[in-house]
Amino acid sequence: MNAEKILLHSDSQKFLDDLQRNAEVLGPTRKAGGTSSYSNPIFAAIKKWGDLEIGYKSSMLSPKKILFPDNQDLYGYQVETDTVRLENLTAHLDREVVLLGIHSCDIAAISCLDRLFMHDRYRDDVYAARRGKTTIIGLTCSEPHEQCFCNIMGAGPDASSGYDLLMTDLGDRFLIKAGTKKGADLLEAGYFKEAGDEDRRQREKIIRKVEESLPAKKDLKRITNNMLVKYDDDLWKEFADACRSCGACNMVCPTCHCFAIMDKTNPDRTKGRRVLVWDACHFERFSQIAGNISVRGEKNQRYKHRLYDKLLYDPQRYDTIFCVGCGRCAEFCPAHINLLAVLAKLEE
Amino acid sequence: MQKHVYMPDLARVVEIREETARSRSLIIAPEKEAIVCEAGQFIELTVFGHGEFPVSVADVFDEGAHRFMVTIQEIGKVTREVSRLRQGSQIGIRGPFGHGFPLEVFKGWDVHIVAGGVGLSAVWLLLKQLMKNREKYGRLNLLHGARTPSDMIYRDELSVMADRANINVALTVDRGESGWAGRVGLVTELLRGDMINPDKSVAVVCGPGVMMKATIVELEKLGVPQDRIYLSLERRMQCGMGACGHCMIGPKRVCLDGPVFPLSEIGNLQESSL
Repeated sequence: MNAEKILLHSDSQKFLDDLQRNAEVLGPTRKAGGTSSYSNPIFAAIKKWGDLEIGYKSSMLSPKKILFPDNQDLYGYQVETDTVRLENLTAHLDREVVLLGIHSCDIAAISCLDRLFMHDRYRDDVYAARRGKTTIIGLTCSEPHEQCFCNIMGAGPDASSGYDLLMTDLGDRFLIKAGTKKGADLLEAGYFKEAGDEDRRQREKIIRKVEESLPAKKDLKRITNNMLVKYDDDLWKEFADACRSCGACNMVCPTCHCFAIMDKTNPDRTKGRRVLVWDACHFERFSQIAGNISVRGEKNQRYKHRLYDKLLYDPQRYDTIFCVGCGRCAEFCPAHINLLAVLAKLEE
Repeated sequence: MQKHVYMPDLARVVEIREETARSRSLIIAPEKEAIVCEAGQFIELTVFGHGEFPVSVADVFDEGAHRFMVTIQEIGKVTREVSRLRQGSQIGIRGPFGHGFPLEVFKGWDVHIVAGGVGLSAVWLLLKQLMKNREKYGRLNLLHGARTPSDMIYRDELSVMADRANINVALTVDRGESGWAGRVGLVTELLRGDMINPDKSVAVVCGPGVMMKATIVELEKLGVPQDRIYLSLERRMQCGMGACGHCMIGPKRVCLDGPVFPLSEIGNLQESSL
């Protein structure tokens, strides 16, 4: 399990060929179409090693979209007078997937989703089936982007668990650590070389350099303690007032997991599909109850709910904070609300 | 994977009871396994072609609950479609979900049930179970209020129950109608000090938000402590299993931690409206 190996860049295609023998390999790439003006890679099929954006800083959607896709078909149904026929539409999940080149923050986020969807009180067997067939090959960052704060949330820049393999780019070679037996088995292939002390020193140096370019640490305990008493504080106003309730942060957040279940039917409603779609606690109707009363009718309540959930409620239930400091919410917020600014206010 | 948590079991509507102009009870027979259900739990009911909604199990029939009853008020897009269902219609059910009422804890106590409108259906099975083992509990009070007499569900059974000596049934309506000889007024007016010994009482409340709020105020005035006031809450639970996030009240998920809560558990939450 503690295996550490070296993979020369020149051997990386061999590694990919081996992975592709049993699985579809998905990773950050610019070779998957999409908008030309958009500078971030997206997680899509890696056909050859060169498709992989080894030096990428971030992506808009995290690998959440693979493990917990928006718009999932759950089952189909057909109504014939008094009889209904059901068809499970999740059978396609029976394929092996390798997530290649996932950053530490996103690895930590997957661990959050695992705790939520594979909880002992509740197990989403659709998620569990997909997750069970997923191999995670992480990649530590070479350079963070300007919104990153994984160090503050304890989710990076290095990862200590949640991966099968974890790569660090040393320039002409990768140092690869195994985190599971499954990962260690992959390192048995002949093109992996033993790692030496110099490789390990170089890895440490790279991680430290990334760490140094991240923002100053914050006192998380103080922040969460303050949240307990500052729910009604004025500090929330400037952020909630600026918020457009667009739900962008919910969509790009790698740990946001709320969803709606809805039906898509043909016009006469005799045939349809039950579909799981991403939902957002920033939407007013998200908390609607009978009689169309909205439990969180005020934007301020919705803004706070999202952060209280991530920083206070989820840790109570799942024993881990549900923010990994990936910075996507800040990068894609049309109102330029930066979570770090909120945390700074809460730390005062 | 043959089946998964979001796929319902098929069931048939074997009988329909029209309760009021806007609500009806469905007697449902699961096609495969009987449901095992605590009083206070809910199921997710699918009207194929329209969608799914959570609803309390109001009653179970036969040993092992091969048939059970839910009472549905037309209140939204999917519940309106319930009016199209007829005897023999096939529906989908998932569940039951959540925690019911702690019957063990109620043993030896006076139980006061205060229900408003169709909220009565969420405490109906509890009431049946209390009546079945009547000797295990102290005094039993059912205080029920509806908007008008024709909005009152289970009227026949209520009048049978009202004639029994081992339960006190008090009914009221917000607005009377011709033929209604009963009380007119709020359900909170039925709560009287001589009826409740706060040291021996547990209370159960279910109904619309304002009614629950007002009832809690009265119960607290009468000295019933928060940890002995049980509430059955309604939220739009979509998954029913603690993941979708729609039913959260602060850190609590109504579908998993409830829908039955002692007031002491949720009354002081930042998002509690109680």
